[in-house]
Amino acid sequence: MEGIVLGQYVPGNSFLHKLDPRTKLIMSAVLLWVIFLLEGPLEYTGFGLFIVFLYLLAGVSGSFLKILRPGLYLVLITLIINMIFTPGRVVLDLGLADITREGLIQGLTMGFRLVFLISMSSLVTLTTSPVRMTDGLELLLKPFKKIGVPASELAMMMNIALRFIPTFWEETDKIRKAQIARGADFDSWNLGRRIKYITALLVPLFVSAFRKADELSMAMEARGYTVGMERTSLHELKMNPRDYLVLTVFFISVAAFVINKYFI
Amino acid sequence: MGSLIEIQNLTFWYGEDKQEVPVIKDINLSVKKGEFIAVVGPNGSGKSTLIRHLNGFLAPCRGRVTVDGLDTAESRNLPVIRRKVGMVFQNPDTQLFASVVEEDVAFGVENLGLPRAEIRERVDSALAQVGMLEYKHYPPHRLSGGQKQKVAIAGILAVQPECIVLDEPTSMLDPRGKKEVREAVRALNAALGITVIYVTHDMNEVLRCDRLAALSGGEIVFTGRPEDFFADRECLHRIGLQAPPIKELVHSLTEEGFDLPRDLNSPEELVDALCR
Ligand SMILES: Nc1ncnc2c1ncn2[C@@H]1O[C@H](COP(=O)(O)OP(=O)(O)OP(=O)(O)O)[C@@H](O)[C@H]1O
Ligand SMILES: [Mg+2]
Repeated sequence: MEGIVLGQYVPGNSFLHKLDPRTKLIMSAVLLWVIFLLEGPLEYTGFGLFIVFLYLLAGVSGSFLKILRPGLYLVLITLIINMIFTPGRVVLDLGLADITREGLIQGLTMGFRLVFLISMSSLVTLTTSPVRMTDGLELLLKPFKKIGVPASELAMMMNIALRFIPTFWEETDKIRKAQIARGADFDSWNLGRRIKYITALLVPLFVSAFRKADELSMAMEARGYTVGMERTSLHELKMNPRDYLVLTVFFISVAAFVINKYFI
Repeated sequence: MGSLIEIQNLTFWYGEDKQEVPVIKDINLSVKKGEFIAVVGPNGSGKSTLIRHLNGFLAPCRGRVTVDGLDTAESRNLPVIRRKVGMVFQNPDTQLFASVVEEDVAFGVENLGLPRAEIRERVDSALAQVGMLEYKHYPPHRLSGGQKQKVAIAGILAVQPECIVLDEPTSMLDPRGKKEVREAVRALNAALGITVIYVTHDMNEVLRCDRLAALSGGEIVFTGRPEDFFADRECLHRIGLQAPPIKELVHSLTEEGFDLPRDLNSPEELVDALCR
């Protein structure tokens, strides 16, 4: 299935591609938090431009719209619900519902936050190969092993999940076509019917996923894997001077932003 | 050569109820080092069940299975046994779990805790052995079925096992994929001396094995040279298997009065024999 970009890696050689996955994971985590601090049109515009700049820098700007497409519905719904249900000064009277000034602002804020969240987190998966990402995640979580966080197992789960996303879509597509051949209409406007057809899609999908999981765990065990074992890794992650530089500049900027906003 | 795997009086039930008919009935089999053994039998005859005993996935209900003298029923032996006996399964899609080919091949070696340089070396040489080195950066879902199976085999090879067990590795592949995989397995057996236990439904694939074991209803009904197996038409008929076309042809010709040897495995050999 095309158009599914979630969790997909676009190989490249840009500055962002070359950063260590840990650097990217840390920065995106901080930026996701910063999104909720933004206030006012100026800051929103600034952050939006910053994201566009990052996409251009990474050379993955072509994927930007594709990523947003699935999220766009969510954004629209958020926008509409907020516009209609927030009380305040009416700017547009639609008879049935009134659009208020507060609602409009609230809706736009939420909508933009969603767009930022989606595009920010996708940027990491777009510029990091799944293998390096899971390695990075594992290393980041390693200090928490002592308090019982199963770092290697989490990384392994993520690795497998990423590997099976394409297989899963292929499978969905296959079952969907099989059901359409039997007369299912997935685009039906009748909600009851649509739910029925979607159930007919989900049940075989889950059955097949469980069977796959079973076979997969057998294959892993046959190759000597046991949960919680000590493993070594083919690839080595190395923080380069570039990573330390970027992280330093990044944290100084974020700190400056926060201090300027709340303490001055 | 010495024996690698010893199966003694193996009996196995899946359920708790020992009154039922067992899935594996009192099987004895000894696999020599470097041997290429094919295991055949109709659906449900217990082939998969039998081979799952070889790396300790299943423990015998009665009897004993040993690999290089290690009892598979003892769980502390399992890590060593699984290093010695690698297993390739039927479905190429559920065996590869990394997002990149070389990562997947590395998986087993990473489990051994070897240093990075050694992993690198073993991964590359295993991929080269099955002729998949140029695909090492591919994501598995972009490979053909036959290529996926070869990557799975490389993943086993990288661990440097003494024995590879393959459970119907070609049954989901097209003829070309079947041939690729079959040839890769043969090469390992011939060039590296790795013991091969090959479960299959395709009688064409067993023609050139050293020894063949036929299962029916959980019992071994035949062990020996494949040509002897295919010559015993009564036994073939009883367990519901059919000889490959070339054997059928040789058989018909013999019945017509031609004097032909029994170990003809290809049309070319048959032509040679007839022209002599
Ligand atoms: N997990 C299980 N639990 C219970 N019974 C099982 C299980 N797996 C297999 N069986 C039964 O054991 C018998 C032998 O099955 P097995 O899978 O070993 O046959 P097989 O020779 O590999 O067949 P096939 O050629 O179809 O792969 C069958 O009757 C099957 O129903
Ligand atoms: Mg089977």
